[in-house]
Amino acid sequence: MGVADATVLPVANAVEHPVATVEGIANAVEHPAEAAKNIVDGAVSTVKAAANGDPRALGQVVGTVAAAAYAGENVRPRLYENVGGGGVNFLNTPTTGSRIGLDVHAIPEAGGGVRPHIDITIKKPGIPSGPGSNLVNIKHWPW
Amino acid sequence: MMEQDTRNRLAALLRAAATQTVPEKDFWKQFEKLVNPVGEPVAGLAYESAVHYWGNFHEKNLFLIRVKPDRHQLLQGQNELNLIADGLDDDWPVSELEHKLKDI
Repeated sequence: MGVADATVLPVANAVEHPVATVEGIANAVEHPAEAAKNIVDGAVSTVKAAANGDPRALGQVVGTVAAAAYAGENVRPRLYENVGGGGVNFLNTPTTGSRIGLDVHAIPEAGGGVRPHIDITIKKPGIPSGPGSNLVNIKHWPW
Repeated sequence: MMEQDTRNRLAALLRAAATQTVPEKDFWKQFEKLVNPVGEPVAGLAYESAVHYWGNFHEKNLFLIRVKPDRHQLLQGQNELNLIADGLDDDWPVSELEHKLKDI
């Protein structure tokens, strides 16, 4: 349960209660010092509880570390240094070999113009590449 | 319509990229001399795959530190470049090449 607290549940909660989420963010922007203090206090409390063997807190620590490790490994900005443009790729999500890319570069559909677009390739579980590996393959949306 | 000699040279260039036996800068110089990705559909497909393939070598992590290419994305790019090279050598219709590219 603690792992979900740190990973899935915040996203689910933001989707379920979008107004509350936006209000929370706005409040944090208005009072950044207070927000930072609350974050640090929360983190310290959680780590202390985990150190004392609280299983929920342990799960939260594990979940936070896992989320940070995932983002560090799979969220990748890149530049197309020799042709111009760049983007951010979310790799291996939701399956190994998948790529969700927010990209900007020249595309033939726009007559060679540089256009922002989205690429989504979702691979079948256990088949990260090769013929028949794609569940979804969208290039240059919305062009 | 691309001349067969141009098709073969482009195919060889794409295979060289896939095996990393041509530096990226040389690849793009040769590519631009050979074809126009806007005017020729197959060249457009090659351009798209090559942009993403070479992009793997310029990736950073969230802390903006350079990282090694993701091996699955690298393999994906190699598969695409080699498939387009096969299509060029064997003169596949563009629709057939597009269909096969969508599948890998």
